[in-house]
Amino acid sequence: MDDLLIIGAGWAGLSAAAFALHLKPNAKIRVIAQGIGSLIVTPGWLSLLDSAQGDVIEAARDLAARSPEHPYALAGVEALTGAVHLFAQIGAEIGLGYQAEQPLHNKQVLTALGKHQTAAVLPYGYQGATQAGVQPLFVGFEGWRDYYPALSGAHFTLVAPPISERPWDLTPTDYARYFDQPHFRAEVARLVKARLNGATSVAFPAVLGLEHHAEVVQTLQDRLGVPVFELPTLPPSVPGTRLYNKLRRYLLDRRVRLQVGHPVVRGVREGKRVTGVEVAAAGKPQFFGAKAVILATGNLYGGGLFSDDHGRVWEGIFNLPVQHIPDRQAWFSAQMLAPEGHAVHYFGVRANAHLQPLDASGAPFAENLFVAGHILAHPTDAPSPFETSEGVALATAYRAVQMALMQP
Amino acid sequence: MQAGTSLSCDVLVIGGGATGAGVLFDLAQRGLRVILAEQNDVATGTSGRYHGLLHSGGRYAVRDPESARECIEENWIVRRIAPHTIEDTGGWFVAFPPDDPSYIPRWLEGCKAVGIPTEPVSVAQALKEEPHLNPRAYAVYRVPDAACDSFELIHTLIEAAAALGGKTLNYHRVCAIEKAGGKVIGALLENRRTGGYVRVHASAIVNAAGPWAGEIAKLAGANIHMTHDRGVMVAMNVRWVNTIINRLAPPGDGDILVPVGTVCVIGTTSVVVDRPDDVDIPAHEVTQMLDAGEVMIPNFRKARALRAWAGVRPLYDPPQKREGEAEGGVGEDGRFITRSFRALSHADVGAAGMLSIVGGKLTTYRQMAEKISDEVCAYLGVQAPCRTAETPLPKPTWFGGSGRKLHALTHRLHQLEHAPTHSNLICECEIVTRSQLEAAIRASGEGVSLDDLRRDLRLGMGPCQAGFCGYRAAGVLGETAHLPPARSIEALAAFIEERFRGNRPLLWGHQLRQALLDEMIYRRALGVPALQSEAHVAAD
Ligand SMILES: Cc1cc2nc3c(=O)[nH]c(=O)nc-3n(C[C@H](O)[C@H](O)[C@H](O)COP(=O)(O)OP(=O)(O)OC[C@H]3O[C@@H](n4cnc5c(N)ncnc54)[C@H](O)[C@@H]3O)c2cc1C
Repeated sequence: MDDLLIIGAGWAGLSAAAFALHLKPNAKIRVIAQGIGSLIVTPGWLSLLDSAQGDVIEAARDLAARSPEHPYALAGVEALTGAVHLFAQIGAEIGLGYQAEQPLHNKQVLTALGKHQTAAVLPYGYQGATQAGVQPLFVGFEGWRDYYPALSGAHFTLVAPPISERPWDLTPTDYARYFDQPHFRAEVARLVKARLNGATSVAFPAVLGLEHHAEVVQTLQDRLGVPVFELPTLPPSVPGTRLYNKLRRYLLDRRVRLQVGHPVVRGVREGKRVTGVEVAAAGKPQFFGAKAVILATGNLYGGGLFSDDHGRVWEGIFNLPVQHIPDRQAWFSAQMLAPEGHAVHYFGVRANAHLQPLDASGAPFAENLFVAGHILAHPTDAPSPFETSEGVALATAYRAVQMALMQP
Repeated sequence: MQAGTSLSCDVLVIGGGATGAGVLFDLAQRGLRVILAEQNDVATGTSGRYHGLLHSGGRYAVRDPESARECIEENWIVRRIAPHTIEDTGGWFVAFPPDDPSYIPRWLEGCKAVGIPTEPVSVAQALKEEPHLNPRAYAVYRVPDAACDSFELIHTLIEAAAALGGKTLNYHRVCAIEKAGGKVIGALLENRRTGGYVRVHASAIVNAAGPWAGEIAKLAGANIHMTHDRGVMVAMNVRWVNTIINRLAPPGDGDILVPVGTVCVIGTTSVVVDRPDDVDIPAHEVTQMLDAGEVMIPNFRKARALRAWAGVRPLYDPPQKREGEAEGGVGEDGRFITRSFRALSHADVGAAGMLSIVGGKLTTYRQMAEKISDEVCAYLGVQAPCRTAETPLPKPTWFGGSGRKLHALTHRLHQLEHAPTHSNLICECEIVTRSQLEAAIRASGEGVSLDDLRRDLRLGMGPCQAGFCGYRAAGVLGETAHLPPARSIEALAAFIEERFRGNRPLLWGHQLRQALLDEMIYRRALGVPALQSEAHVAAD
């Protein structure tokens, strides 16, 4: 019997496990997940409230006050601050950056199309983007299909770093592994240095190392003498994979049991309490008991919610009711990139201020079941859930862990 | 409007669907100088959005015998002259509960009357041949239906005509028809790629504009009453059957299942719409198709719905109906209007020499072409018999492997496996390599869109719906065509939205997840800006 069982290993699930270690170091914690959720496509930065102009936390507080059903209101802004600072502390320990200054302000980062995106907290790879200057040099790799520097900006170059394979079908992760090798990054630095030509900074696709990210960025910066930064790429996201790898090691080193690739098929409830979950295994499902369970399986993308052509939307483990629109015609706007986003982004499980999910009558489904991350519904008047993407994952994970660890 | 260029010919054919392409070839074969004008790419109107069935005529045997007869006559001919465009799947008419058994003898009689061969198949035998078929089926008859690739057919006709001097102008929209002395003398065409104008002097004009026939007639001052009947089809990623399955019941919604290549297509709905280009796909019509699929194939919707599209039937609906025509009148849907065709002259409005061919089916394209070409020749005083029923059509050149259109997955795999060196894959779902993409961009010239490249190469048509290849293709387009980055990014945004438009009605389950992944890539990781106007999206 575990003290805490977390279902899901995306932003919310992994953070919840790490937070639980800090809040109760001796707790027996288990994470069971089918996959790593949106980490595979995440840019890797923390969006807390992208539209915030001044102090981001204060803006989140206003949002919570205006919108009492918003996950920030349910979790409380104290949970958001607690989560961000704890995440920053862990981020430093695992060597990925994520410093959170106080007060916290939004920053502008660049994409592979030369467009600006906003985020509040950045891993090392994006920090240089805030000092890109007037003439960043965009560097791509000759013959590689996943990054086209000509689309990023006026100053660009293609280099052919020393690799034995054909560069065509390499994944971003393959390049990241090359960058982990000191002679490779030294050679790339040498090639780029010759073409700097007055550049105020140098941008690469986000493949600057998997295991040794901080060193890679540091070496390139030292050799080139200007800020170096990354641009998010097509999946698999290297910043997301780094985060997963590092957090995984961190959790395993601290005796968290982590089982990824194991789909939970059913939750088991007796009376007002959840006793555990059943996990698909060879032969018959295996039961894992727990004193408290955090459901962090994500939204329709993450895999926590399911839908069909009749317009039904359901949650897959406890069969919790899902807030949604039954008319499927209304799920998506006419354009994929419509500025207003899509109604489906807001679908999710409703919860109370303890982050206990609610059943159809509006009562908690069970005393010891909590929800965290994007499985939570967003009120329809809330800003696009993309704007608060990692903030909601971290804040609700933090709050859910606090509540779950109070269980007898 | 100042015409930059002028061309002259005996006959101008308007519309690059099956009918127009058939007329182009027919008249070229009779020795006339012919030009075909198509406002978009060829085969993008109804003919590119149809269900894929070379009808036996069985569907119309009871209510519309004239059309049924035309279908079966042409069915035999098309099999003979264009076998490479056909997959001879054969077809069945199958009665499932709650289909009314009293329809069966009427149907058999109807088939017999117009010469459609039918052969009873025992249910046990049927289930052996098609194990996914609903075992509650209670009557099965074999008919000579087949699957027909309209892209192949139309390109075949256009190449065959070209060899005889028939010229095709893509992306040329007829915007005015010129008359003098009671007859037509030519037309003004807008080149939609360059914005320039071309004047075509012609002694006769054939209006083969399908559902747009009314609009074209108006340009000549004539009035044709067309009913625009929209039908939705859904392609599933499983080829549930190897035989075309028709419901043995009066024509209704979602009662035909056509196997095509690796997929199968269920269709269609039938909704009268205002405009010939209203190809919207309401979500409920998709669900209706899946429900209908379940009747024929239990668990039908467990397969993944890959793609939905809609076409608008060009039904000719004259106010004065001939006897037997449109029995039961026009209802809510256009199903009671005859599928037969008519040739119309517009001499009465001072547009002698302008002839419209309206109604019909893709299956009967050749007969329609023959009929209107006969009328054209009579008008021009040309004595030349139609020979299209006896002339086998040559396969288009791309079949030899040297060609430019490469849209068969098996062909693609063959090429890749036998290539001396592999090349890098831009679209992994449909196996499109960088060199193919570059070649297509160079061949297409200025202004090519990613959607044009999609039609040539099937780029972005697999399960990921351009989630990955869209960005790559925009990058390659920019490099190859030397576009400024803003243009490449705009091309990418337009492509994303075009793909999304076809995908949106199918967003549930896995496909919905895939769309959300694509959105995260484009909106978040890449920051693709929203398209400025709907107009970009609508113009395909
Ligand atoms: C849903 C559906 C399913 C069908 N299924 C079948 C089937 O299974 N079997 C079958 O035999 N038939 C089927 N049909 C019928 C068949 O598709 C049509 O009858 C046939 O394709 C019509 O061909 P067309 O060449 O006359 O028209 P189209 O293919 O529509 O061609 C007309 C062309 O004219 C062009 N045009 C319009 N205005 C202008 C202008 N101003 N200047 C230049 N060009 C212009 C258009 O762009 C278009 O390409 C189906 C139809 C629908 C809608």
